[in-house]
Amino acid sequence: MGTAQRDATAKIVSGASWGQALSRHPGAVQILVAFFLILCWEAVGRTSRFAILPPLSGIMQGWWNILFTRRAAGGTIGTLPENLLLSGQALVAGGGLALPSGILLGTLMARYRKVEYLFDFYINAFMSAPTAAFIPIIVVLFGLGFTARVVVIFLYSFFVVCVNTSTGIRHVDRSLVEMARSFGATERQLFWKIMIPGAVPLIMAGIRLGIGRAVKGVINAEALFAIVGLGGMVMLYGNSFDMEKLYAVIFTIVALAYVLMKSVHLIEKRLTRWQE
Amino acid sequence: MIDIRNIVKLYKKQEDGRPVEFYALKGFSLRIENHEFLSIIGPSGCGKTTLLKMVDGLIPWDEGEILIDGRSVSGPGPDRGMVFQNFALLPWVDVIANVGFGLELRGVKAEQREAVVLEYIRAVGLDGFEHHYPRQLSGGMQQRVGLARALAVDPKILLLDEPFGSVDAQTRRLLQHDLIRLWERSQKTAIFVTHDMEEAIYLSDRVALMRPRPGSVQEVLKVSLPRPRNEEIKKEKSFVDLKEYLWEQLKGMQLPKS
Repeated sequence: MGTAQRDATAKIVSGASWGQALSRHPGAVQILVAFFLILCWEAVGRTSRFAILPPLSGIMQGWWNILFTRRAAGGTIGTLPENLLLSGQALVAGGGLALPSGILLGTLMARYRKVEYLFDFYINAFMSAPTAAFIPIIVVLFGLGFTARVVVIFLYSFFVVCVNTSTGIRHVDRSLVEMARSFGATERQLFWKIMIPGAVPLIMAGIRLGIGRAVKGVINAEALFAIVGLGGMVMLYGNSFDMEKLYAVIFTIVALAYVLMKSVHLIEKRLTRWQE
Repeated sequence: MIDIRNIVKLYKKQEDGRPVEFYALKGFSLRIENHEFLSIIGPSGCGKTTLLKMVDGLIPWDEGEILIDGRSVSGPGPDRGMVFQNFALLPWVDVIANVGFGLELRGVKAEQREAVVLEYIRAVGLDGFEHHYPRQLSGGMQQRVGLARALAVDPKILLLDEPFGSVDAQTRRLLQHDLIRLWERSQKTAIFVTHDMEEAIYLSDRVALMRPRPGSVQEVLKVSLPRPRNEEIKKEKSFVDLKEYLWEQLKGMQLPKS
C-alpha cells in the first residue's frame, strides 16, 4: 500500500470518528460552534473600522466597566447590578400579578360561559395587538414611574397566560371527565382532579411564553419612557454610540431571558413528565 | 335486579342545515338478574354503548325507566362500576393512583385504600407495575388497570363498554379468560357490551341481541354452558351453533348508510 493511499484511508477513518464523536456529544458541538463564532467576532471586530462591531474583548471590558460606573456620555444611569435589580423588581411585580390573574381569569372563562362571553373578544384582541401601541396611554394614565412599567409588563404577559389556561382546561380529554363522573366525582373534584392536572401542560407553556413576553415588556417600557433599568442602559449607551457597553448590556439581557426561560422549562418538564 | 323499561332516546342533529331528529333507542326493554353476566351485542351504531352509559347514569333518556333493585337511576352511583372502551386512565399518575381513583373520589384516605388497591392490582396480574405510568403499559395492561379500578370500588354491578375492543386478538383472549375468572369468583352482576360474538357467548349467561335505528332488543339468547368455563367450550357444538345463529342475525342488520 502506497503512502498516499494510506493517508487517504487514515483521513476517512478520522473523519468518521469525528462525526461519531460529534453525534455522541451534541453539547461539544454547541461549544465548538460558540468558540468558532467568538473567534470570528473577535477577528472581525479587531480588523473592522466600524465601531458598530467592537471585538469581544472590548465588550468584556465594557461589561467590567458598567459593573461599577454610573456615567455615560448622554447622562447618568446606575451600574449594571443596580439596573438589573430595578428591572428585576418590575419584572417580579408585573409577572407576579400577570401569571396568577391570567390563570384565574383563564380558569373562570373555561368554567363559566358568561365569563367567557364577557371577556373572550377582548382577550383575543389584546393578545394579537402589539402591546407597545398602548404605551403612550399607559404613560398618560400611570406616569413614567414604577407603576407604569409594571402595567406594561402585565399587559405584555397576561393575555397569553389567560388564553393558554382557558384552552388547556377546555381541551381536557372528555373521556376522563366522563370516567370521573361515572365514579361519582363532584364538580369540585372534577375541577381539581381532572381539569387542572389535565391542563398543566398548556398552563406551563403559557407561563413560559408569558415570562418571555414580560422580559420584552420590561425592556420596552424602560427603553421607551422610563430610561431606567436594563432597557434604559440600552437607550443611553445606544444613543451615545458606546458600543462596548451597549453590547455588554444586550448580552446581559439575552442571558437573563435565557436563564428565565430555561428554569421555567425545567419546571415544566418535571411537571409534565407523564406526557413523554 | 336491573329493570330497563321502554327506553326512548331521541337525538337531534343538523343535516344539510336542517335539524333532523332520529331515535337512537326506542322501546328498549331488558331485565338483568342479580349475579348474572349479560352481554349486549349488535352492529356498531345500534346504541349499545349509549344504553350502557344510561344504566351508569351518565346519559339521560327521554322516555322510560331504569330501575336498579326497584330504585330509579338518576345519576352515577357507588353500586355501579364502569370499564371504558378507551381505558380512560389518568395519564399523569401511576397504576396505584389510577386503580385507587374511584376510592379517592369517595374520600378514602391514601393509607386506607392502599391494601385494597394492591389486592386488585395483584388480582388483575399487574404486580410489579404499581409505579408505572399508563404510557409505559401496553393496551392490554392499561385495560387491566381499568378493570382493577372498577373492581376496587366493589360495585354490585360491573358495566363493561367494549373493554377489549382496542387490544390485539391474543391479548383479548387472555383478558377474557382473566375477566371470567374474576367474575366467577366475585359473582357481581355484569353487563358487557361487545360486537364480538364469540366473546359474548364465552363470557355470558345470556346474550341480548340488539337491532339498530331505532335501537331495541331483538332477542335474548340463553347460553346454557356450564361454569367454570375455559377455552375448550368454544369447540362444543352448542357454542358453535349459537355463534352461527348470532352471525345469521347480525348479517341481516346492515346499518342504513348515513
